[in-house]
Parts: sequence; C-alpha cells; structure tokens
Amino acid sequence: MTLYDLANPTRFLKLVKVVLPWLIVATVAALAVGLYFAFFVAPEDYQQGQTVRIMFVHVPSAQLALMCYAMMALSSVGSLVWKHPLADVSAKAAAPLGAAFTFLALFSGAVWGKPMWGTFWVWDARLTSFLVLLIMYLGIIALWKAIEDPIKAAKVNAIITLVGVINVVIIKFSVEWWNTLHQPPSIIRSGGPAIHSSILIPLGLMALAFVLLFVTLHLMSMRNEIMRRRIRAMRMRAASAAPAASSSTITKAAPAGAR
Amino acid sequence: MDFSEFGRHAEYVVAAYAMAAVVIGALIIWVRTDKTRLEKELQALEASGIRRRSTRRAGPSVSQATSVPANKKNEK
Repeated sequence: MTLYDLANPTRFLKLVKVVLPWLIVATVAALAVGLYFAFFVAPEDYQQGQTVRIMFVHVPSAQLALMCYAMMALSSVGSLVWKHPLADVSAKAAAPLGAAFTFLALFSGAVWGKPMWGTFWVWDARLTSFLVLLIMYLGIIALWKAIEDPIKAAKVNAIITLVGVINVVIIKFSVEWWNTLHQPPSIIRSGGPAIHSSILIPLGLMALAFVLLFVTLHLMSMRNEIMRRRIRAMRMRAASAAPAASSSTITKAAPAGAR
Repeated sequence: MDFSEFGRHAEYVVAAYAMAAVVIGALIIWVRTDKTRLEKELQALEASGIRRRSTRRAGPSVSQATSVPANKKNEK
C-alpha cells in the first residue's frame, strides 16, 4: 500500500481498523512499563530528590507538543501543495491533542518549577514561547470551528500553521539564544545527553509511551473527522435534493391543478 | 521506590501525575463519545433514507462506510 493509496479515506479507515487494536495494546503496555520504571527503577536525583519524577511527564508532553505542531505543519504542506485528501483531516484532528499536551507540559513545568525555582511561572523566553504555542493551538481550533466550509478552513489553517512554525524554532533555541531560568538542552545536544542512563532510560520509555498514545488518539480523531465530513456531505446532498424534489412535485401537481 | 520517603515535595509530583491522568483521560473520553455520537448521527441519516452518493451506487448502507469503497472525490 502506497501513500497515494492512503489518500483514499475509505482505504485509510480500513487500515485504522486493523492497526488500532494493536496500537492500543502497545500504548497500554508502554505506559505500564514506563510508569514502573519512572517510579520503581529510576533513582531520585541528588539535588532535586523525588521531584525529578515530574520530568517523566513534563518532557514527553513538551516533546509531543512540538512534534504535534511539526506534524500539523507537514500536513499543511500536504494540504496546500498536493491537496492530499487526508492532510487537512490530519491537521484538524491533531490540533486539540497538541493543545492538551502543551497545557500538560506547561502545568507539569509549573509544579516542577515551584519547588526547584521557587516560582510557578516566570516570563522567560522558553516558558513564554511555550505559552504562545498553547495560544496558537487554541486559535487554530477556533478557526477550524469558525469557518464552516472545511476546504476553506483547511487552506486558512494551513497558512497560519506554517507561519506559526517560527514559534517552534524559537521554542527549540530559546534556551540558547536568551538567558533563561529554564535549563539548556540536556537530551538532544552536541556531546550527547547530559542525563545519567538510570534516568534517561525511564524517560525514553515514557516518551515512547506518549508517542504511541498520541498516534492512537490521532488515528481515532482522524476517523471521527472523516465521519463528520461524511455526515456533512450527506446533509448537503439531502438539502440540495430537497428543493428539486419539491419542485418536481409542483411540476407534477400543476397540470393536475390545471385540469 | 519507598512512598513513605516521597519527600516534602510530594504534592507537586502527585499534582503533575494527577493532571496528566485527567488530561489523557479527558482526551480518551472525548474521542470515544465523539465517535459514538457521530455513528448515531450516521445511522439516523441512513434511517431517514439519506445516503452517500458512492454508497447509493454501490448498494451497502452508510453504517458500513468504513468498509465500503468510496469515490475519492466525495470525501472532502
């Protein structure tokens, strides 16, 4: 099956039907293993103590928030350039998930910040740009709802999503470009991760679990969106057929009335 | 891990994981209820005699939409 074949929503739905049960099992298993490692295998940090365990929720959420936006940007390219039938469905379905994980990253960051920094929030570049990401997600969701025609909504949202990619770059490099309270990169950086393997492995497992969770929820949301569009198409067909049916009734009725 | 030695910052750890459970749980419930509502709506439309153009040509009902070959042009 090629990517072109998947452009047909019916074929895509068939694939989702096969893949989804396996994805659900994999997600539950990965979450169970990840949580076990996070609470029972990973040691407490010599400086942070038990609060280091917040990292196992905070980092995967933040990575997903960025990954989801990057995926929406790719979908937007697919929507604008190739007019791929599922690209705008994918972008629309991802937005609420991205908003949820961005909120979770902000919340877990705040409750991690209070015991470590002495404050829930500070207007530094990383935190502020992440808050902007949440606002952008909410704006994109609102725009999808505000424009009734899904094709027009997809075009407008694709352009706005691509413009918003600049914020993802700012988030990524904010801790290097500016002096922030948030720590510099400690996983993806030159010289390798700065985290000991005893904490890095549980973090990797939780990150994998979150990615699987996102893929599962995204496929389920895409399936819902395809159904929503089918319902809309059926309602429009019914509405456009209604005047024709009534006019044909009038045409038939007119000669009878003339008699 | 010994939970009795969870430390003086336990409430922050619990708050982070509790919020994660609430957010993920809410997402799952939202996606599931949305699916149920949409399926009911599709069935109601089908019951009232409204069908997709591709299904009218092919024959099977709309509720079988996930397994019925559809005209690509009708999907958007």
